[in-house]
Amino acid sequence: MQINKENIEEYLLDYSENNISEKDKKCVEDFLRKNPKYREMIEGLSDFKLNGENAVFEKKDSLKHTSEFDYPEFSYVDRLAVSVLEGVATSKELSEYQKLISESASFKKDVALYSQTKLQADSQIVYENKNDLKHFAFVFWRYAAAVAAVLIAGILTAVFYKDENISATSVYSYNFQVKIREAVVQEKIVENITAAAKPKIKQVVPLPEKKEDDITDIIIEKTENETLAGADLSSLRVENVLKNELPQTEVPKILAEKSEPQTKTKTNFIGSRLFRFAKKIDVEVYRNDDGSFFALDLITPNKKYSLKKL
Amino acid sequence: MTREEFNKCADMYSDFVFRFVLKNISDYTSAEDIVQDSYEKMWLRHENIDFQKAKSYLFACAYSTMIDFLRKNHSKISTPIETGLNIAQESFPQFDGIKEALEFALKKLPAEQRSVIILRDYEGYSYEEISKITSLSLSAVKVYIFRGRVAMKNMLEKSGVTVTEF
Repeated sequence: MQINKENIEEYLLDYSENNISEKDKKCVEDFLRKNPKYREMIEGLSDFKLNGENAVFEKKDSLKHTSEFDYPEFSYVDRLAVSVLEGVATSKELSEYQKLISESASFKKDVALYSQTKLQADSQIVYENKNDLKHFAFVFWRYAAAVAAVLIAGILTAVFYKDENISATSVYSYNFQVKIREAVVQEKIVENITAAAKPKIKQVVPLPEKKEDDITDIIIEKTENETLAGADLSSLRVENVLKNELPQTEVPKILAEKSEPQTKTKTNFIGSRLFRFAKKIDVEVYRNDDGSFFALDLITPNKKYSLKKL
Repeated sequence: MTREEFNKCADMYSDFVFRFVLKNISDYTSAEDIVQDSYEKMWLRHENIDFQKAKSYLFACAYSTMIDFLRKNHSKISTPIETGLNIAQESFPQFDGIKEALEFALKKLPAEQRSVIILRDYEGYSYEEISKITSLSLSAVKVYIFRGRVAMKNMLEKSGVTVTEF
């Protein structure tokens, strides 16, 4: 290695601290022997030591973040109160908090206000349609079963409906089936009838005598704000299906009043309900979107009435 | 998470998520939609989600959807952390009871402050958990909670309602 004036400084510090290889040391000493002025540069170098290792930074605490909410732009009172409220206060903060509580009325007031900001969940608020969130296996079969129930009920209905000599036992059985049908179809009706005109029966009186093809007038009393618009009520009749089996007094004649044209239109009645169980005689008439009327049949275990459009 | 566990989540957590969203957006129908949306998102990934973490996942979904909803409706989402707090300087009506005043104060908070306080108080989540749910930094969560509380306290003070001293 060649040491010259250009690179001697790179070696001088290491040489002075004896932190150099023997080979380099020898080269440096050769160079210094030939150039004594460089020796002067390193003389006393080893005596020059910084004497600051005992100096300490006395404000260490000011560098630390001891509080969870160390935001100097806010008052100490706010920071202390929120720390305690949030349950993150240090032991030092807690003791200061206790001290201030006992000494300062305004701090006490602030703490009272802060305690009110702790929210309580309202358990009255619940999500009502939890089942809608769930995912069930074999969903298809659930719907298929419902559809099958409707179809079976429909078939049974058609069969029994033609049977005029239906027995009390079979009527009961029949009712059971129709109830299923009603329950299924009812969902549609409830959903789609928003302003159904529900006429009220004004009077039900027995027919004076049995007739083979008894047709009576139905006059329908208007309901509040929901009447039948343009209803040609003469086209509706009550048909006694089992009239031959029923005592004469049980065959009703329904008298009601004709309605005024309605101002409110009924919307979207989809689907139909053929049978409805009721202990009292009741009639419901709905108007479809096309203006036609749909009358519900009424069946009770001992009486059957069919309200049909002619 | 299995299908059964997922359905269990519907029974166990939907009320909590619903309350959280409803309290934030004050719109019953939209809150229901956000709950449904959150559960559908979880269903899509339910096989990869641990049942134990389902609740946090639901809250995270709900929070994200809710913030989008609020943005679309031009609601105030957040205030920059650097800026000062000025909500308490706004004027607001006087109230008869502390409950009404508190409701009002809560609604006046920016959505992010309101959300983190609700998560903290309703669900008792830690700052770290809230940070994960909201994707906010830990320091932002702390700042929002602190600022929210100070703002609510100042608003209660200005409302003139009587508060029983501590």
